[in-house]
Amino acid sequence: MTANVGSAEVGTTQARGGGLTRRLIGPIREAHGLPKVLLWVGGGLFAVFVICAIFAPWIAPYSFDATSSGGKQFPKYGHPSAAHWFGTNVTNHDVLSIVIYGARTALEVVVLAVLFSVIVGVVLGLISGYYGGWLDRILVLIMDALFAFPYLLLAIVVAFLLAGKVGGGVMTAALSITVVYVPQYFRVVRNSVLSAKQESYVEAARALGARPRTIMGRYLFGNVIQSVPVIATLNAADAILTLAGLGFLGYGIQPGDAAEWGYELSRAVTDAGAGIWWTGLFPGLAIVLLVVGLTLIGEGLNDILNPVLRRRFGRLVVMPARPRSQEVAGDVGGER
Amino acid sequence: MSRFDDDGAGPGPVLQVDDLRVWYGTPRGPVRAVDGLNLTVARGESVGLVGESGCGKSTLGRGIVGLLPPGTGIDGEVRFADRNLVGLPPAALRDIRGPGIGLIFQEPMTRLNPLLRISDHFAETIRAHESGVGRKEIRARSLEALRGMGIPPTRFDHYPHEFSGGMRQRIMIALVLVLRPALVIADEPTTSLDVLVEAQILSILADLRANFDTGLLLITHNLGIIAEACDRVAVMYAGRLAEVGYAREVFAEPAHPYTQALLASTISLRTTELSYIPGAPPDLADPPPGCRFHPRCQKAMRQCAQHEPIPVRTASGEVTCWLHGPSNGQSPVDLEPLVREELRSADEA
Amino acid sequence: MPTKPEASTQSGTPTQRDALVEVRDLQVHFAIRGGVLGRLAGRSVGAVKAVDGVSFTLHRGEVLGLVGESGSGKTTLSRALLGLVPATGGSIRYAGTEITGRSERSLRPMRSKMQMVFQDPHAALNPAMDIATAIAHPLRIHGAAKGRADIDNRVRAALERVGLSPPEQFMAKYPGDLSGGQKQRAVLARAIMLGPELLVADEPVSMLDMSVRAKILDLMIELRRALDLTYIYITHDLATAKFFCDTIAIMYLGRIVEIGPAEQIYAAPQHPYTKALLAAIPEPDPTREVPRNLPRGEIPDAAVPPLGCAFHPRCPVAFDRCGWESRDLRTLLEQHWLELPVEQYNAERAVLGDLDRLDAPATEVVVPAARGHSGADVADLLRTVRDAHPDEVFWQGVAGTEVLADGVRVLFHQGTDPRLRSTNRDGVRAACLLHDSE
Repeated sequence: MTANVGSAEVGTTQARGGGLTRRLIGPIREAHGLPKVLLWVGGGLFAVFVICAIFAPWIAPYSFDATSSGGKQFPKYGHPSAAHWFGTNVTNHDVLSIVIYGARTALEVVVLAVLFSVIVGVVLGLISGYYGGWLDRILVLIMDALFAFPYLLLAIVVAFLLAGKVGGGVMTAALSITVVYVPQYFRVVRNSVLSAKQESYVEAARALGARPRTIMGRYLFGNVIQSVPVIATLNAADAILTLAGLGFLGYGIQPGDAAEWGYELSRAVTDAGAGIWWTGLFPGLAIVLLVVGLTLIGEGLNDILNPVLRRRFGRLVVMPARPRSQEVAGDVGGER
Repeated sequence: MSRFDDDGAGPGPVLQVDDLRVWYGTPRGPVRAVDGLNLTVARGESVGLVGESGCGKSTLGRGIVGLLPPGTGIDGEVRFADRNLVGLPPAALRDIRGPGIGLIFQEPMTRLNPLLRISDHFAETIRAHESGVGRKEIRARSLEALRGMGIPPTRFDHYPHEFSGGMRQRIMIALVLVLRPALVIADEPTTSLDVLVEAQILSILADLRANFDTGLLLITHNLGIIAEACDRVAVMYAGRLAEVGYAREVFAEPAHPYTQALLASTISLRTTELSYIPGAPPDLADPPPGCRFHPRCQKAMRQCAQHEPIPVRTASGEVTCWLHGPSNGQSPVDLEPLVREELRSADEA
Repeated sequence: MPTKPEASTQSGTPTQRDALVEVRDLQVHFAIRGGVLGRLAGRSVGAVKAVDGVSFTLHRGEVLGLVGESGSGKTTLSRALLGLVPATGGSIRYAGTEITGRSERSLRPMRSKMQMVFQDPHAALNPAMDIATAIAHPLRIHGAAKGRADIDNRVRAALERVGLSPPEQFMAKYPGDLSGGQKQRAVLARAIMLGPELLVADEPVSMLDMSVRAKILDLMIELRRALDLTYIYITHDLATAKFFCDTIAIMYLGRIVEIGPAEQIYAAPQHPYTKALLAAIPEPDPTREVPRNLPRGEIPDAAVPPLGCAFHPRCPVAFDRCGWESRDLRTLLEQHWLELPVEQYNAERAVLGDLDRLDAPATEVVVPAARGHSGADVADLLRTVRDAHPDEVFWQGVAGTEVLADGVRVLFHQGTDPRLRSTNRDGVRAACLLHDSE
């Protein structure tokens, strides 16, 4: 042990260990440099969309499915104007309102999808890693099979199977995206469990007489989910694209249910040829900005939380000049 | 002989550390891992550096060869082969590590590339530092180095995983010695090994100075190892040397209260009662004033808490403790026993 | 300062009290899966006999030291005693109840009686759990506390007992905030929480600094007195074992090779391995010479243990019946070549064929000649080796040689696997053929 107190460790002894929240929040608060910039820019972009999503009815000038306001019919393919900042589309809808309400749809779907896949992936990963044996083999096989599928195709298949069975379009879309991302959490958590269960504290818990459920919940869970927040944010970004992809191909949320950027894009494809740029540009821009925002957060978190990437550069030391007394002492002692 | 070896000529020190400081930057302020330390290693001499974890002994070993994390502050002098290693550019230090100063670490398992045969390791090591060495010469020198470590020549083309932990550590030592360094720094070389294997390695290290005329700085927390393998011992506490001298004399008559306490707390076959040092080593970001050992010292005097002690020559070396003088200028009050509150047993390392 | 505790502090000496743990012929074997194909098919190609026929009795209040190098099986044995690793044979009775063959679930109620202390206190505590929660967890697992206040009081009491006082200062801390000694105290506090009878301590002080080891040992002695604990102390360090243990069991390659009262074993070790271990401990006394006649080599691979006595390849006093075999011949050849100049080694090595043929354990082996060399050449070489090392104990094991056309057949004496036998020292048993009366 003594020898392990390597030089790099000396400076970080204070930051080791601690509760889950402390371990997540601590480094974020301490972050500086590029990761901090990434986090702030990404967080800012993301916040704009969250505000749009929550306050859509107050922010958007009209409802996403309104074709008239105050008895006045909206124009078809109306140029951006004072009444319609982003113009109107082929079905006489206000593009700005669609974009704002689209944020709500996207975030609803993504939050649900990430939540479901985290829960399912983490729980299965814990069980698979802890018990091992044939259960593990089967789960790994299933997850690898899911992982090997082209993700959009998989989402389409699931969306097709679920269509009309689980209620609203949002839920169908969320579940089809969930299936795509479960294997990632499963893999990461299972691998962490495989190494964490070799630790003495897991054996200690067994020696105490803890049940497997307790060991997984109290001893393994907190130590294997550090990388989950990073994957979750990066997956959220990816899920936005999957949702848009589903919508673009017509397997996503039905137009009447909610505003959806991907669907808008698919309709705008033909418009672009006719010089009508606004119906495609704004939904597309919204997708790009939200994905960029989430990716930046994910990368920022990764730099901060990932122990491999996280290099705590020792702060530059300014050494004071040697104390006078030492020189005097040397003279008195007549040693050196 | 290596190019770092022949320029000094004569029995002068192969390594001279002069007033070395190594400070780490942390959010709490600088941690003074090594704080004004002097040490010499003579040609063919083995010096044991002993101390508890966190006293800065590993930092000293790394500081000498410039293996410190970026941002670390270092000043003072590390004189080796007529050069001051402090402040040398990284490339120059890289050239010295290996043929000049060899390094042996604790974990032999992780330091051999599992995909390379032992012969490849030797070829790579020699070629990295010496140009124009032929295959035959590499083989001859490697087998010679391995033979010194008791690895039979039939195993030369084996892979690392085919060796046991003790053999791997011996291969590591052979890889260091094949470059014929003038100085070897070994940081806890036997900590992860078994008692019998440890004893084998220690006897190899003890032979080192006789056979190769190599200086050895052996860093360890185990006083027993120093007694077996070293000529001189340097006792380190909280970034500074408490005492240095010939091992026989220091072990027989330790001068510094810390050395005395450390020897007493070592459990050996002759131990009949347990003894320990109260309290814990100080936080090196905020070390106590005066003598750094005074809060734990049973013999502390008033002046120990106020003034830094001055190194004093002893029969075989130096001790840095007010008990041994110099005795000019203090008032009798300074020499009164230090009064302080009781230490709790839990305040420990 | 505490001195070595007298065994008789409790009622009667430990060995007079009733047996707490009785182990009979315990075996823990692990199957080895072969290469990629074998692994896919789930076939096993052999077994590592981590624990191979161990028997001992542990009395209430006794401290048993299990001493051995890494690979001796001492850790596996301790895990098997606690039911954390399934035994593949034999019996373990804890206070009369059979433990082997029972599921982890059915052992759970017994856990409060037997607890464990680990080598690395840092790894033994969940880094994501604060000290108070970690120490209280045994109470929650076993439903042994009545409400929050009760738990809180008992946590405080346990922390005080192990010297972490005042408790408030430590309860909200995380393992990362504590020093090594403090963490080991916390681990001890957790272990005594349910009022155990048996504490299995796996190298509890080996990761700690010298100045702290004594404090933790002292605490363990103190806990033994106060709580009437029985200890199994697993270590590679004979010095701390001498201080702490009543009985010592020396383990080598899955077996106990010597067992008996500590004072007897340290005064006059009976097994050559114990003697070597005692001689090899680095003592803080520079006037002592480094021991030169150490056993060579390291603990062999437990998957293919040496024939006969497992220690014979390293034993300085082995003789003909110890189990000499083909692999020992290879070791001797390599030892011989180690001392030769490179050219001479090259010349001698060229006489012999594939040496890997000596790697399968056998009491009869053909040393192959290389292409272009005859059996007579090989015989000459073996004679050279013998002349160079006439005192090597190996030669006692050779029963005869026969020169063939393409090599030399070497026959060895049949070895005997030594069993634990009484020695002339009181209560000491050793597994060495030197003590077999014949």
